[in-house]
Amino acid sequence: MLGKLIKNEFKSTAHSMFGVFMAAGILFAVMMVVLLFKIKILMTLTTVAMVAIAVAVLIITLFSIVSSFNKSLYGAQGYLSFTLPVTGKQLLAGKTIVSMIWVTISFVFTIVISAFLVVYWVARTSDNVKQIIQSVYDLLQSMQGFPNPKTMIKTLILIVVIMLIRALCMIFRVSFSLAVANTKRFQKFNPIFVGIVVYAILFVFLMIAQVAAMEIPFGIAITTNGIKMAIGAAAFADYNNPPIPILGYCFEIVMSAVLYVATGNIMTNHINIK
Amino acid sequence: MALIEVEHLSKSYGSHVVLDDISFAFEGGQIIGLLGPNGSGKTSLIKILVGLIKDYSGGAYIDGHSADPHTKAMVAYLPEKTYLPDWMRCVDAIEFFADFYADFDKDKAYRMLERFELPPKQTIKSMSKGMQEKLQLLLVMCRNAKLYILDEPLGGVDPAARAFILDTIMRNHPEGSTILLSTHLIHDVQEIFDSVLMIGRGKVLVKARVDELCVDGRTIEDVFKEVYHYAWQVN
Repeated sequence: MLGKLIKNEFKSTAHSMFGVFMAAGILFAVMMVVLLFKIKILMTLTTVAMVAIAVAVLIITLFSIVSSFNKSLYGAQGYLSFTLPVTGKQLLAGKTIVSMIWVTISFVFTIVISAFLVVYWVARTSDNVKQIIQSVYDLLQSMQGFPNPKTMIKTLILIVVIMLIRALCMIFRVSFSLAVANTKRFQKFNPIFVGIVVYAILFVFLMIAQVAAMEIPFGIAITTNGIKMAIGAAAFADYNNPPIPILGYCFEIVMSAVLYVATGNIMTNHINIK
Repeated sequence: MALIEVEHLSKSYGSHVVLDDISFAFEGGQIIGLLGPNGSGKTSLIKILVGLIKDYSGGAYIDGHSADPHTKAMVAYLPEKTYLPDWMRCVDAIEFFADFYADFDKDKAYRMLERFELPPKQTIKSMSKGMQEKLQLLLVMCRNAKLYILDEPLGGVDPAARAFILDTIMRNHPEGSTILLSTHLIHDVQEIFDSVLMIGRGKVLVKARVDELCVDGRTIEDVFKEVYHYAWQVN
């Protein structure tokens, strides 16, 4: 059943995402034409448009996640969702997985667009884009403490994992906030308003926990030759590049698990569909 | 074991009690009329049975289970509201139901779509309310469910549409299945019921088989008028 939930959730959310990705595709084609014929006057305009689309992708993704949890669960569509032969936790898992897919696509899209815009602007002034990028890379390599290519890949993987943890925790905060907003106690208020308040409380709580976690010397150090654990104040002081404190991210993983269980419980036992 | 069983069920909205310690049970294989005026608690009772309302006291069971995936797989529920997402087309809705309900008859759904004159590729957003209701009725009646729970399927439609809806329900429910149909429009449907449950002021006012109730030429409508006139006067 989870597979079916994911499939149908993906179909449902794809409708709101499709337009903006199509616009990006069309704009990309226009930019290629502009680049080919070196129409400099259109370069600024198309760049601004692409940045706007990249921002729109992030906003629409967030809107789509909120809508997926609020409208399709607690609005009129809840009559359909909550009478399907699935558990509350399966419903939640399906929506979370699809939300994660969209967040990942949006992140990748934004990174690819940023990289593309750099190349686009380099190409505006020079014909030898590859050479310029290589010389920038060589310059970075010559800097003290800059990781070797193998470590760079490991670092990128680490960054992706951290971003996914943060995205997952954000999705669980959204789903929990909206579930609380739709319980009997809060149903008389605007659910979006209550959702925002609950989300803000969770966010502040998380920030305090993360600031506190940064004081504990437990992290990952990126060195020239690899990624190493750094535990203890002495280990933190040893490295040229300050290690990344990871206790805060561990806390986000725990928070995600707690919010998943709590939201599933609220959906199963405390939601009344109006 | 009774198919539908309610034990000491109470539900209130703030200080307003809609169901007050009610108990009843029905065997399967019959058409049950859930009758009562507007606001008598019919929809609340149905929403508890299908799992849309969770804060109540007492028990509400279908096939011995309170609302869970087991009961949801065997109940075909038609709510008063239109609930399909705007972006869906008729074909998407059919595929959706076929995905989740093992008892859904897809071929029958496509045949009925044609008979109902619903354009397969038209989105819900661009459909009239009547068309949406027709589609929902189609989706529910294309399931070979053990229990059909239909909440006011005849409310807010003209007499011709009422006849069409009733005909669709009667023609398409499988033999041996049970229908729990709520309505406040007794006149049009009284002939189809095997049993009735009349609720009002939070209580069960009448629970009986139709043949026990309709003696000496009395109709369900007569009983309804009698019961509710009385119930409303004494409360």
